[in-house]
Amino acid sequence: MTAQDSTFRHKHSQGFAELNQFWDKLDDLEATVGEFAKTSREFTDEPVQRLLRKIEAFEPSVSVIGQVKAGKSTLLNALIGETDLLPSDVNPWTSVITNVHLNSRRVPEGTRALFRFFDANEWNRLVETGGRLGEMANRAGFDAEAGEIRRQVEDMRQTTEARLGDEFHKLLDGNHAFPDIRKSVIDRYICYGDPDEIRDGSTEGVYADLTKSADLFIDLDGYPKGLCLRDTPGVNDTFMMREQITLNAISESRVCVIVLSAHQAMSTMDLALLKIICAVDAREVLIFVNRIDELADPRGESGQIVKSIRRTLERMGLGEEIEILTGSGYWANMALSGRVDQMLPGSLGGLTKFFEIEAPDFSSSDVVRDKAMEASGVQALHRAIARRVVKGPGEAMLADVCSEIDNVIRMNELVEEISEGGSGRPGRSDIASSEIAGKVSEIGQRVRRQFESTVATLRADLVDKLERAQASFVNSAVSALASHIETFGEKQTWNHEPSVLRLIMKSAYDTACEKLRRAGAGALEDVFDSVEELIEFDLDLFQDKLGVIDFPTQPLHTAPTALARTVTLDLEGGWWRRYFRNGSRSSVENRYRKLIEAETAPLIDRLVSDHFNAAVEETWSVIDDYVTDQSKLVQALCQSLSAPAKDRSAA
Amino acid sequence: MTMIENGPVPRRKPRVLLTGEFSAGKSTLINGLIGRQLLPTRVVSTAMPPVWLIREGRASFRIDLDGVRHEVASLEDLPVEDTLIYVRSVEAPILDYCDLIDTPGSSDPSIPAECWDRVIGFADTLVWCSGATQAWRQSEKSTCRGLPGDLMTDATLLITQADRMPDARSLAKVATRVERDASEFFRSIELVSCLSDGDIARVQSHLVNVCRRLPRLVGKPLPQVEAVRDADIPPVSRGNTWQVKTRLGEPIKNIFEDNDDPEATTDRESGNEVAAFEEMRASDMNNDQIRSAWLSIIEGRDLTRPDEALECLDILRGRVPPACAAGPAIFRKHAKQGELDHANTSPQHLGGVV
Repeated sequence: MTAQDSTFRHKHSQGFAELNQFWDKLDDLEATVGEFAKTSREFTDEPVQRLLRKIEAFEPSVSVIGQVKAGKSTLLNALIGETDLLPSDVNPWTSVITNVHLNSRRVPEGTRALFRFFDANEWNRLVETGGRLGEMANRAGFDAEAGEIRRQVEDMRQTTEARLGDEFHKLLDGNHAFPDIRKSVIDRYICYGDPDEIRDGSTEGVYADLTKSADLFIDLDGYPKGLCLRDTPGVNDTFMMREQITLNAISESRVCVIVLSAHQAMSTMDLALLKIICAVDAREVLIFVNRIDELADPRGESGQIVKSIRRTLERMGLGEEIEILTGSGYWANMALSGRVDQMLPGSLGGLTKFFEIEAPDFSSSDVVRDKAMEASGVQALHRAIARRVVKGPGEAMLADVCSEIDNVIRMNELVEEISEGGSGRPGRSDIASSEIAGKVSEIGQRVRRQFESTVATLRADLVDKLERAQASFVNSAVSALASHIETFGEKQTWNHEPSVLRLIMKSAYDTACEKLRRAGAGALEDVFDSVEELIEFDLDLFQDKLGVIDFPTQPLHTAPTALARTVTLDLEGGWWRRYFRNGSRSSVENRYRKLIEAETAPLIDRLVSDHFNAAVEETWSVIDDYVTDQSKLVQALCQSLSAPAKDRSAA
Repeated sequence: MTMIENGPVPRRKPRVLLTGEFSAGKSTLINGLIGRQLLPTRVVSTAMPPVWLIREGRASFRIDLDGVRHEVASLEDLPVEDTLIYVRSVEAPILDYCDLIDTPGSSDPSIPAECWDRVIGFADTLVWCSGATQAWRQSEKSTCRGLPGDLMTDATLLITQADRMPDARSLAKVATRVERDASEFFRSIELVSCLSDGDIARVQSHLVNVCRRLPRLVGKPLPQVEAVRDADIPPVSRGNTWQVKTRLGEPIKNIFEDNDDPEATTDRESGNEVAAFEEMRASDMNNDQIRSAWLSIIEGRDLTRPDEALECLDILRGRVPPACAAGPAIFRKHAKQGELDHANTSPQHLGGVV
């Protein structure tokens, strides 16, 4: 890299300035915690270590999502200034979710690239039924699609097993790790090759079918530490499995960048995707209209595109607050790699048109470089991402860390004070710390029993509500369908939004989570009160010594994207219309009823058994940690009360 | 076949439905085909109802959902939701061979799907446009699967905007993938750049071919359109009275093409009549007979003009035995390297309104 290149890269990374400032703050906090730990009493070790681990593990993630060929991989490369990192092609071959970890602090020993494979069970299920998507299409009676998915998967199985031979079974359930990131390696795992080229001996994509996820750890000077950018396979791919991979993963990032192609910005497909993301989760969504370099008048037409998207969003009642940016990952990559002289004539023409009024001197390649970067919109995207990460997960993290460290400091001070005899009352020194620990553990057990019984009621309520929502949706959908057929026959588009059901289920889930949060708060308060009592009466110390305690922050639970089905099913297009063309009215109704029931039953099951139960576990672990901390505190108090006595007897 | 066996018996003019997702270049294509900037082409979705283009009469009216006819003075005043179809007369050579029906793009969130659905029944065959940069996605496949089989017997997939691809290799890669994935729906798959006059000419010839070989015209009648046609029976030859507005520099290709024989290509480039005669050799007519027929047809014609040439060929084909006329070319599957002339052709060249 020339010196000029590195200056350019440095400038590029400045888009992330706000995120870097955030990390400086977090680093300060971490240093403070570390300093504190050096002098604080031993009993604070555990909470302090927990806090440090939490800071270290903090890695906000940003998912890049969109239709096939919107330019997601290209844009991701442009975002981190590594123009050749992720492969991109004129055909959609991205097949795996790739997590690019920037300046991560948790790099596995000696590993820069890690590829995980499906395990044997997942793989078998996939090839037997076409995975969840195949099962769904089959149930829905979309025979053509179900057959197609099965065919696609069967083809995939045969070619993969044939290609890999004996190696195949050894790979399942394992992973491949590499000490450095090499392009030839990446291409083998995360990108389907062109089938014709693979036949001709190309190794591109040999492992792609089997690969479940890819993690690349990359250290870049000047870029934020601890940021994970995730590239996803495009939705609306004719190889339908890929879309499913993406939909399953949406819920894993708080910030989503939806990438649209300027050629066809905001189709019904994009809208369906946006609905899934917005309706299911309160998340931070950004829209980036990519590939504007290919427009005849990039500046003027981008303006029209943004206006048109706004109109559509408004009409659909979807977030006015969604920020829409325009630009070109291609321009940015050309600028970053210093290859502006190789820019396609069309893109160069677009760039010239973009700066029509300003008319800079494009005979200098440095000028072209600067201008391409400026017009690419990538730095604006940096800033937008940084703002959202900081405002969202970032600030929550800071608040969390601050309140926890305050609590630890307060507990430490209290023990210090007592041991220096600073308490107004003498306190009792005749209680063994093991006895006191037993009492705290009893408190913990009691609180747990209570919490569990509350949760059981909540769970039953949730199941009941979900089932009622399902039943009423099925009924309303079927009767709406009946009257629709009555009025319009089969011609008019049928449109009974599954998002209604999704909304009801989401609200039931959110209510349950809110109640869970309150149950958690109740349990924390209970622990606090009981421990306070213990301190006052058993240890005979002033009760208000603990002061105002901030309870530990409970995890926020949001409804999962499991609620989302596939984008194609969500559309009112081909699938639904074809559905009506077969069979008599009553059989259509019957099949429709069965379809929705079969589709929603596993949703309810997953919402309760996977997501709600996981939320309960998380909440409990917060309470449990709190109990542990309180137990340590009380024991430390107990010891400091008895310490002077020991000293005396020793003397 | 009946048409050909009985010679050029009057048969209703075939209707070609041009469709695809929005922003796939349909309007640009149609403007190219008719040689003028009739339809608005914009980067954002263009809110237009379906448009039925016919050669005859001076029609410019819309038919609303109740079947009532309203005159339309300007395209700006076209309501989308309440219009079944907008009927417009255009003097364009291609419309001597078929009607063109333009549809609003599918997957356009601002246009209800039934706008599109309602006019499908009028068409005899279909051309699906898909932009090269994002060609052939599941939503397109899904829509095509839902279309009536009759319409799809000789359907064409045009991968448009080939000029937006970086190079010939990329084009070939896209073509290979799309062919692998879409051939179950389409008899012909073609890469074109609507900015290229040569490509437009190829599409014109292809449409003429498809229309000739359609075994059955399945589209249902629309009386208001037939009324316009009945009131205006065009003369057989209009010769110089046409205000031809195309600037199609290249001679017509492909009409009789059935292979990529390099020799035939050379012949074609030196003048389409040669290509025509290549094909004639297979027929029962001897060359002298064909030649004299041809010479009488082309008398006073300007064969450098595609529309004229097409018409001449048409007349000639009407006179030759079925074995020859019914053997259409298989439309070239995809562009060969370096064959696209694109990039620097500015959009204005398209319409080339003189």
